Amino acid sequence: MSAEVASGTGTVLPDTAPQPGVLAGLAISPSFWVGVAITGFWIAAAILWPLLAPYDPFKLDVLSPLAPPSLKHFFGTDELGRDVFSRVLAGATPAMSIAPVATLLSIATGTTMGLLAGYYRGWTDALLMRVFDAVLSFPLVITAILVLTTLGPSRVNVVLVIVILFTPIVARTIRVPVMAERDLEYVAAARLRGESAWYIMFAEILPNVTAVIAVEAAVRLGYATFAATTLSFLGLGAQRPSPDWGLSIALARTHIQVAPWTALFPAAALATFIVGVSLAADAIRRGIEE
Amino acid sequence: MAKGNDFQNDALSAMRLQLQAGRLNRRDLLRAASVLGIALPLATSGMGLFSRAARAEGSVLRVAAQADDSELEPVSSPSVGAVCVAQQIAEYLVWCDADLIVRPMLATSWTPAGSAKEWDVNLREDVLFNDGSPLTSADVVATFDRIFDPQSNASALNSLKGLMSAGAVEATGTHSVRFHLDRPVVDFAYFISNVTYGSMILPKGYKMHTFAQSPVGTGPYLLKEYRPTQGATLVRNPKYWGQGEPKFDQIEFIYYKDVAPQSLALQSGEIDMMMETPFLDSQALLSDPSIKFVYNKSASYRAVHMRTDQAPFNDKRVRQAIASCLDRTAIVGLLFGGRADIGNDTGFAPIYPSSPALAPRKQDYELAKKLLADAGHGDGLTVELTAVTFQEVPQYATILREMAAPAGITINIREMAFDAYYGTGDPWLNLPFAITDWGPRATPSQLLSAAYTCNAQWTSSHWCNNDFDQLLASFDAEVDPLKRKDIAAKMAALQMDEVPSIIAYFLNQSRAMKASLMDVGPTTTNVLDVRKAHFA
Amino acid sequence: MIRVVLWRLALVAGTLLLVSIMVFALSDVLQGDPGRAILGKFATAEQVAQVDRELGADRPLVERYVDWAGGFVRGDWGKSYVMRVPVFPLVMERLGKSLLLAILGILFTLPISIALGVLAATRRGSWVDHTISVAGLALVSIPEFVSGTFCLIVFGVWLRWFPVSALAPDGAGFWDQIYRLVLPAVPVALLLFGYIARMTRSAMIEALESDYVRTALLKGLPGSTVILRHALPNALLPTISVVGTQFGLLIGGLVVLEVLFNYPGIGRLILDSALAHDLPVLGPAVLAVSVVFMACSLIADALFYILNPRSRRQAA
Repeated sequence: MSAEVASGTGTVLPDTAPQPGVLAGLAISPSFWVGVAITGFWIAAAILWPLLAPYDPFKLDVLSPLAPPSLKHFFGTDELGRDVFSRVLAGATPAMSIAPVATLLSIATGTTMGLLAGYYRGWTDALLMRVFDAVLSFPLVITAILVLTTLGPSRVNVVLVIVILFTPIVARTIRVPVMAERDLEYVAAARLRGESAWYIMFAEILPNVTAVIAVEAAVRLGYATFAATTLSFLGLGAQRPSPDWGLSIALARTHIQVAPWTALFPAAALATFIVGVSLAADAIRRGIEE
Repeated sequence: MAKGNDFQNDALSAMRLQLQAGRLNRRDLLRAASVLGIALPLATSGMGLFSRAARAEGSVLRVAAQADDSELEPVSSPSVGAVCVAQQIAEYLVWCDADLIVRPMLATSWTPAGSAKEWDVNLREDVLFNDGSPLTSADVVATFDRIFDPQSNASALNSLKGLMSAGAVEATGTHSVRFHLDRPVVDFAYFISNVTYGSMILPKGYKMHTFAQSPVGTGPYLLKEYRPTQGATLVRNPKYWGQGEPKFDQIEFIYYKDVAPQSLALQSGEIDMMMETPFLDSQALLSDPSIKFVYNKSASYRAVHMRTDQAPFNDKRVRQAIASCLDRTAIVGLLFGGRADIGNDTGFAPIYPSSPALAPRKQDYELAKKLLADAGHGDGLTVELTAVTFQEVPQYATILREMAAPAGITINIREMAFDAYYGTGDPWLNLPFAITDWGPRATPSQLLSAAYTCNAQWTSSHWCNNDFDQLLASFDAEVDPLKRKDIAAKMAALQMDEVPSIIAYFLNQSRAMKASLMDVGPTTTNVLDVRKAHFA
Repeated sequence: MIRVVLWRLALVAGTLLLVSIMVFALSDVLQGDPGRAILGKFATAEQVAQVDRELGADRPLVERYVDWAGGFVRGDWGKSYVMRVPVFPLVMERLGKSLLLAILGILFTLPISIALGVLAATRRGSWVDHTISVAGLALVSIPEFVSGTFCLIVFGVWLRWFPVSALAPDGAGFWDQIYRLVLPAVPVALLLFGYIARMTRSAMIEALESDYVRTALLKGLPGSTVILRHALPNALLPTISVVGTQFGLLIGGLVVLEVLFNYPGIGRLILDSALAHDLPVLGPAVLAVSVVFMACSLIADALFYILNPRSRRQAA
């Protein structure tokens, strides 16, 4: 999760609404389409795996533990004889559910905090920023370890931890354009009309920073997957017998010498999904920035 | 000991008769004789198998052990990593090998005085502690007093409690002591052997929690450095009493958190042996010609305990239902490639001579469903199973989950770190449904009294059955191997019916080492005897 | 100038205070009864109560916090429940181990990332640029346990170029330890590569488009000289600041690799003590990681300030 911190320092984005032509720009970006195709594939797998998987991903098979890839088992079997191909497909579900939910929630709370800090400035801003600094002054994985060992590992708690960690990052990113928007005439006009602060923040300013939010959401999705699988790898996220990719890699590590396929395929799935999301997110970002 | 006392002679002649009648085999006879302190000619033959290899100057043995953040404290530490280091520095009165035959170590003899309630133990007279002071009976008395001091939190209590009490050891001479037991126990010798791993003899002046700073013992090695959670360096004790022992000049213990890096380190030649090599995590080693495996059948097992004093497990039909969901042959196949003995939910492991032959409990979903329905869970039951992160236990939990599902039982697995599971609040003794790893015990009595009697120290199932306790007492006092078998059969039947814990298998202990490493002593527990070990 | 420094230091102090309160609160939640934790389950209720009194665990929360924080500042960190060794030397030793791994990772990645970042900037829009940026993006997204596992198999097991366990045995020399850390340092380098390369690339593009570079080129200086002597030093400024911050976060953030390669660094100490509920170790170890992070970002800021000609001019 150490790369996560990179974007934690806050990418400063232009505070403008999407320009016409962004969509046109995306349409011709090959990396965008590659990213969308990969992501789309895994979303389909997450929903349709019960139809696609040749075996029950939880079914034990005494007769063929650690069988190498073959026509019978495309990706081989794991230590308990379970079909790795089916498990990799089924593993898309936890990946596709935890990270997006965590991303959506972090964007919601982060945007609210960013609006508050950027709109009120002064003490509100200073206080929020100090709290955020404190949260971000450890490696994220350390904070996650602390919270999860306190609360116990569960899907809900993993989402909670990601929201706790990503809220400050999102807030910092949103705060900058909000500050700029606040000085524009339409905000002053709204205030003269006697609109409430909440109305101005959410009905006036928010629509003008949606581009920043959209980019942030796309970028966060990749990092949320990174974070969730890392926690699973450390044993703090998904628990047995979940086909979660991070957990599968951690568990496959022990017999990686005799059965590399048990680690290889979940790792490849995880890598392609994250790279796919990142490619798409990066293309969107560039489309909006340029 | 050519001539025994009356008690020994009576027991021996009874056993000889049964041997002739074909009801007892030779190995059982040897075992039974050795615990009574009767040295039969064959009993020592195991020692002759060792080669008389010369000591190589500067030779180092590197041993990988499981680290579990424990303190190096021979009296209280239950961790293999700490115990196997302490065992090189301090020693036991009696040594028990993998074949369950006991041999002299610091004690030269153990003789029942009249009945099996009083035992006379004589000590070697040529033994010095590594601080120069001689080993005397006072040290033995002090060692056992320390174990029974409530402040010590001694690990040995779990096998000695109920067998003897504080002040049970009396010095009868400079080199002789008498043990006054609470009740007659024929298998006494096992209880003062390495099987009770916390019973190593320490000097009378030893203060708890100072072992890492002042490691005084009579053993073949001296502690040079101890690095918590990382390892230990030991050097040869030049004044060790054993002739020509030990062979290695130095032992290097390296602690690992996981098995996988140990296997890799063994393959790449960074270590010479592993203390323990679980099957699931070490598949790569099986096909490596430079590595050999030493297997020992054992009474080591996993208890899936169910709290008999809490719903839903206070209804024995629920416990029986879960036990009826298991295909034990499949479990042993998946977890050990078949290298384990099938268990029938009783503590009478196949390795014990007294264990009755039992018809294995079959997988029977119809029965399981009926039992559940009778217990009022006809529409399904959801329970949380806690599995300690240790060797194959989490995989076992996964299998249990899948096998219980067809009967309408939903098992949610919660994995817990080793140190937390055995740490603050003792989750392992309090959780309603959990899997605990149990090290081997040399006698069924040790195994059962640790967890299945009413006042057992570690009764995680909170099961209490007075009939069972009485049977155990008479089992301990019974000399006749055939009568013991009868009592054992009754106890096993009780345990199978009540199912305080599911015991689906007993492990074969396996230890991977370099093929060139010879004569590492066979042991039944996770103990290490390298006095005669050397490279070919 | 002095005001700026003082303000910055005050911010750090404030953040540290907050962090310490959070850590204390968290360990108070995690903590059962400390007396029970030390004595184990065989102790009587009176014995436990006595130890609690001796430890002061029966006092109000605020008082205990002040005591605990004071102890931390004085270097009096207490003893581990589980390992029963003093915490201060333990944390320092583990911190040093993680530091070594982090430094190695940074050293691996810096020259390559900067060189490729500059290359991408000078070939902007070309296939070289695209390849570097896509590779960087991909590497930054792939978790270190994935890349680390492959390094382990390929170089540790198949090729046997490097040992599989990162911790050198006792008595091994400094270089032996470095050699063993090469394998775990590779995933660190891969992870940072994309980020530093992209940072250098965009800073370099900005520098190349700046007036002074255009002027230098117009004056007829050769392209390579302009890039190396004029554009690069300016372009490196943001990179330095980023490396400083990243370095601070790497310490402790290496836990995944420390687990994978069996290397006892501070991250694994935190993970293990959190899982084992060894609170006397957990609190100070986490705080120490936080202090290191802040020190690193302060140093990075100072470096940025000292090296940045614009800020020097402003200060004058």
